[in-house]
Amino acid sequence: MCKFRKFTMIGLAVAACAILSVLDVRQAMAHGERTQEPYLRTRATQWFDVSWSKTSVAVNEEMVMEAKVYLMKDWPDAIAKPDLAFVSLVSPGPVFTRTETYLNGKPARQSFKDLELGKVYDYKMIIRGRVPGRWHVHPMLSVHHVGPLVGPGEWIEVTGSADDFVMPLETISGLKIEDLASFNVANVVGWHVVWIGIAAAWLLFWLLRPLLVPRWIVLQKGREDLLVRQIDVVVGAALVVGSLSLATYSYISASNEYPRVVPLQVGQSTAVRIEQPPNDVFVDVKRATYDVPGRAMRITFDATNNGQVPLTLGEFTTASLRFVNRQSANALARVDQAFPQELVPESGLAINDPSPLQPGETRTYEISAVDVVWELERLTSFLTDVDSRFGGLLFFYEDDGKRHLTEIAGPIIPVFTNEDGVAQRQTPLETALIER
Amino acid sequence: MFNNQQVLEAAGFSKDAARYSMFFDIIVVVAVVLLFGGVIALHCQLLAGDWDFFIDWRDRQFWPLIYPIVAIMFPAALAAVFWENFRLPIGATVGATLLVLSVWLMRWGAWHEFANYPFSMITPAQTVTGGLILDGLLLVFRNYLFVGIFGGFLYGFVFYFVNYAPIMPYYLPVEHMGSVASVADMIGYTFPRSTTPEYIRIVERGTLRTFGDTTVWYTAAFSGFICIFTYLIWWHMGLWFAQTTFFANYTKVKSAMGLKD
Ligand SMILES: [Cu+2]
Repeated sequence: MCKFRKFTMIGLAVAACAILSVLDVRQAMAHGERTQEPYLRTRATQWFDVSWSKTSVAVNEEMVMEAKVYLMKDWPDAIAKPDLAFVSLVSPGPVFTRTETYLNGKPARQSFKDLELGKVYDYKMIIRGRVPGRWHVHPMLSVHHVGPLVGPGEWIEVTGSADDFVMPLETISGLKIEDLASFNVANVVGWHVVWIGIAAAWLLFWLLRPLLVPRWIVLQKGREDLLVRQIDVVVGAALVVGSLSLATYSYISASNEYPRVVPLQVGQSTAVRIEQPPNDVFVDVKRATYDVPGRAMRITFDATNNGQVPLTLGEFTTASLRFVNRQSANALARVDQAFPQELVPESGLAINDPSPLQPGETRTYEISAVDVVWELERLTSFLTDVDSRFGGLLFFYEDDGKRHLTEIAGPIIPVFTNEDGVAQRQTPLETALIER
Repeated sequence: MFNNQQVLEAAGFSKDAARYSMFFDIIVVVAVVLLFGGVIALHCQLLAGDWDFFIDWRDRQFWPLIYPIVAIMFPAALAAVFWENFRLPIGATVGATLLVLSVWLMRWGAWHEFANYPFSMITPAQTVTGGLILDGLLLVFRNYLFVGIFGGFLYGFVFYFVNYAPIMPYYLPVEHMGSVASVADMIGYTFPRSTTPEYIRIVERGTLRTFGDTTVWYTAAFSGFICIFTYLIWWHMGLWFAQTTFFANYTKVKSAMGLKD
């Protein structure tokens, strides 16, 4: 018996630990973005110049999240075109509140229609801290029939007490709402209490009698008159008349109190055009491989400079990962120290010839992006896609820092081992770069 | 107020039998509350949930149409079982009240406490008014067909008006970034549902072209019309599911259970 009890206690302790470990979901909540199929993250939208004005806000304090989002021309066939989209953010529930949102400078409370592929859009969102904690916050574009297309995430600390949160608002008629989170809740609860109270009285009126078995027997014996008396019918009729009267009263009195109400607003907006970044580089992809054991993406492409000034390849970005040419000061200058470092691999971008591409020159580039981050971000299931393509953006820089933006996309081939049957590792170029 | 003694005598119950019978009644009441509280809430969540989840999803076209049609099903079935077997006109009220209580429990626990949604966004709708009308009319008419025609219609029709009255302040207009929004729109906008954006709201796109400017009277009437049939069908569903059917035990099954002939 004693032994049995001991086993029971151990069993309970193990069960409790198991349950508690499941309950600690915060880590999992932070990285929902990684569950998205790679083709959504590498081939639909590319987010860049993402910034968070603060990494710690108090409850009720505002901060700004800004970004640029490029819609890939090589948009995946598997998902709908961005005919209808909504500017939003990803966070674990409403731990932040939305104050204002903009797409290309236009207010974005509503969805936008007819977004164009191959264009850069300006994203801006003003948010306020609501629930204290450490939250992973991403900019996001939600596309109809696609779902959320997520940008890079940053940890934001919300400090203070959740009870202090207030969201005041004033209606056009001049009613001052103290806090949107609790507005009118007491009124709804009050009416529910009234109706549930009436229901409770009605139920008690019947439940305080002998119920199932006696009533069933009496009914079988044909003495229905004992079960439903004249007085019961009168009470029932009064209930119907009373309920209808109270319903009518509640509607009429509310209508008189609030004569000017509007239906839910659902209009859609059209995004305004904004100036697009220059693009003097023509890119033609020759071959791209993903080296599975080496965790390396290697791309060979021809690039032609159609402009008037030399251009230096500075960055390859896809799925919010930034592989930066560490020899280019202009490219490094674009990497804000505050930007999440786990998205900027230390190894950078290996380039066979990093010298500037002269006007009119066509050069065959071989670039490699090598980092374990491909695995960490779960981007390697290129291999399970039905179309096995990659996508991303190349940034070329003029000497004065002006940035050219070029889409790069094409088929990608997995590499598992080399000819000797040995897993292929870094090329000498990559090794040199990583060691430096 | 009650004729309890007379009923017990007519049933032929001794004092002891009456006491045990009451104990049995209490067990059944608890079971009905727990079982149907869960079942009805789940049923409505699956079939009409979206239109009642958030304050800014309650438009005048779909919410008052779909919610009562779904929310009348179990009350009708319960009404049939309680009335046909026990002459208790309480089934519809039981169903409607359990629904609103369970949904409140869910909104408080899962939506407010766990997912941080403010109550102004997630207060549920109630169909208690309709339930009371159905039960009262059942007592008056004593005929499910008439209750279906009149009560079913009223159940669907009053839903919008009794639920809209308490939430009317949420439809006051606000100016936000240069356009009009209702307070409800602002609540939905302010408290982000990360993956349920604006376009997912299946909300009426404009008013009727004729008949004045509001769709709601027609929606409410149409909802009532459909509720008539829903009530009648689910009345029979209730009776069908409350049957007791005995099957003769097949000999091989018997021997598999270790029973001899
Ligand atoms: Cu995240």
